Amino acid sequence: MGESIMSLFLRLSVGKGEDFLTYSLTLSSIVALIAGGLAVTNVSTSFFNTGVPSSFEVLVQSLSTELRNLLLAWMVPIIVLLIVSSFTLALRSGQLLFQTASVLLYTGSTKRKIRRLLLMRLLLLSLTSWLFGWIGGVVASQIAFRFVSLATGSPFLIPFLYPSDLVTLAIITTGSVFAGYFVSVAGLAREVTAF
Amino acid sequence: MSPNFLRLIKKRSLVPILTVLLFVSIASSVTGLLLYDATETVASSGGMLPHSTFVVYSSSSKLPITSVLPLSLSDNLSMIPGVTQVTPEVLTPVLAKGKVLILRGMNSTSFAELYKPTFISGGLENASSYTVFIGSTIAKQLFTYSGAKITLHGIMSNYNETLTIGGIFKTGTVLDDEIISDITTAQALRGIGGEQASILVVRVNQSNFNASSLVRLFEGKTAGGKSSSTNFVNSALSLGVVGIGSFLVGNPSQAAGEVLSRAIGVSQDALWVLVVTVSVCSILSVYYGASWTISENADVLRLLNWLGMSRRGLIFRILTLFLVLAVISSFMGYLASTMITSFLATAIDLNVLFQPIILYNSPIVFILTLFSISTLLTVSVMKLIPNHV
Repeated sequence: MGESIMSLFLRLSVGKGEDFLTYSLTLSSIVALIAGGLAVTNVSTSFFNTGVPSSFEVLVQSLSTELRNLLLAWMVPIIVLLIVSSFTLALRSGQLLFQTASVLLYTGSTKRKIRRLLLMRLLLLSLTSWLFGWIGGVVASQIAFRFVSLATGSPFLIPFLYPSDLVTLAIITTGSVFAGYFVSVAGLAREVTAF
Repeated sequence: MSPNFLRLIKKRSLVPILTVLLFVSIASSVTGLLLYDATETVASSGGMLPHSTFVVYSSSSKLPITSVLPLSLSDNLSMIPGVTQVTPEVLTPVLAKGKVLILRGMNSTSFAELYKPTFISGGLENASSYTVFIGSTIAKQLFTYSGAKITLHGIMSNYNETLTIGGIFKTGTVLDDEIISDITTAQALRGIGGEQASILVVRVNQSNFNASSLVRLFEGKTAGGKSSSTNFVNSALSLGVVGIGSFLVGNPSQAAGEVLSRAIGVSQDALWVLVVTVSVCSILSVYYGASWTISENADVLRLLNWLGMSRRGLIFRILTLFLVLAVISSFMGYLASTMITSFLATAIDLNVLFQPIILYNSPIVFILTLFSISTLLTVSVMKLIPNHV
């Protein structure tokens, strides 16, 4: 009995599976872009930091700083974009649950249950976006690096993410998705006066 | 696109596609602008040359700065009909007051003729051995003045030289970020012999210059180099670094060039990988963003189809709506990106090859972004609206 209620709760929070997958993949492709950029930044920085002291250190450090600054100039606007777009897409995804929430309210569900429903939906959305996003981003950047190094004849390096990058991505994605959730709830409260 | 169709579409359902289009536009424009500006800055590092002038440098080098050429090549080039002047230049990174800068060693008369500098203080009449001329941008950064002493440390040679500043000049080109010296000083700081240079600047009279004689000269050199493997290794050892087994053998100053070349290679790769990653993720974002909006309006599209609107009619209307959004978002994205890059270039001191990045704000980036997004949207809509709605 408990299992079937849980399964129903999950199904209600996800809604139409195909649509939920579309929302999740839209957000994932945005997260993938950031993850790919981070992976490229890491591999480039690690290439310069060989740890071997040499007379060319100042030259290598100078080039390393130049590349780091260039990648930073790329990352800053992209991270801001990630936050803004995750927020907006989560907001819209939350709004799409209004109809289900209204029906549930009028059929006797408690406000707490509906809040949990929204919470579950956005938790799943941020989790799947983060997971598909960073895996896709790292794989895409590795394949891209392979092709580019084959084309230019430069050494092939493997882009990677540090565990701290995964935590940062998780915080950014979940944070902005949940910010969208709170705005959705506020909107829902306005639309459904009983809320 | 009729206004009635717009009325049927849920306005809020356009939020996902608009968000995605703005995201993709800004991400693509920022990436494109950074790559274009970085590439152009590197290209201009050879110097902004006048018309009918070109630069020759070693094919094994990724950049003029890592090139080493025999000076004797300038005699061969001078003999080609139509070549009016050949100027050897030596380029090397040097450390001055803790800052990595480019030193360009060349004849002072050729410097005046080729780059036409305007002197803020001092002048070429002060030119002599142990004298350097400093670009106005660098002079400001180093807080230095005409007549002062400056110590340069050759990074590729580990050699120090204290020189007098003979003047501070302005050209309006990348040379304003460089130090100019005589060729002998630059050769010592680069760690190459007196019979070598980095690049040859060739000025031609286009009316009687034929590029085929240049090709013949260079191909002749290559054919001679391939005559025997021993000759190849010997010449490589004298001029640069050669890979033998798992070792690199050669001139130590060239080893620095190798480090620099590899580092530049990785930097270029990193920027290109970003472009590929942005492209792949943009394709996915636009496709799923369009899919999101279409699925939200699926009931309206189905109704219109039942009422007799053909698939072609639906595609035309949806696509027109999306393309209008694409034009708006691409333009806004491009404008935002130019502002972001110019702000960040100053805020985080963006340099490419020890020179401040030159911001071109090329409209090519906008055109390419708009074209790519429009194509992506067209393909996505064609695929997402099925034969039987």
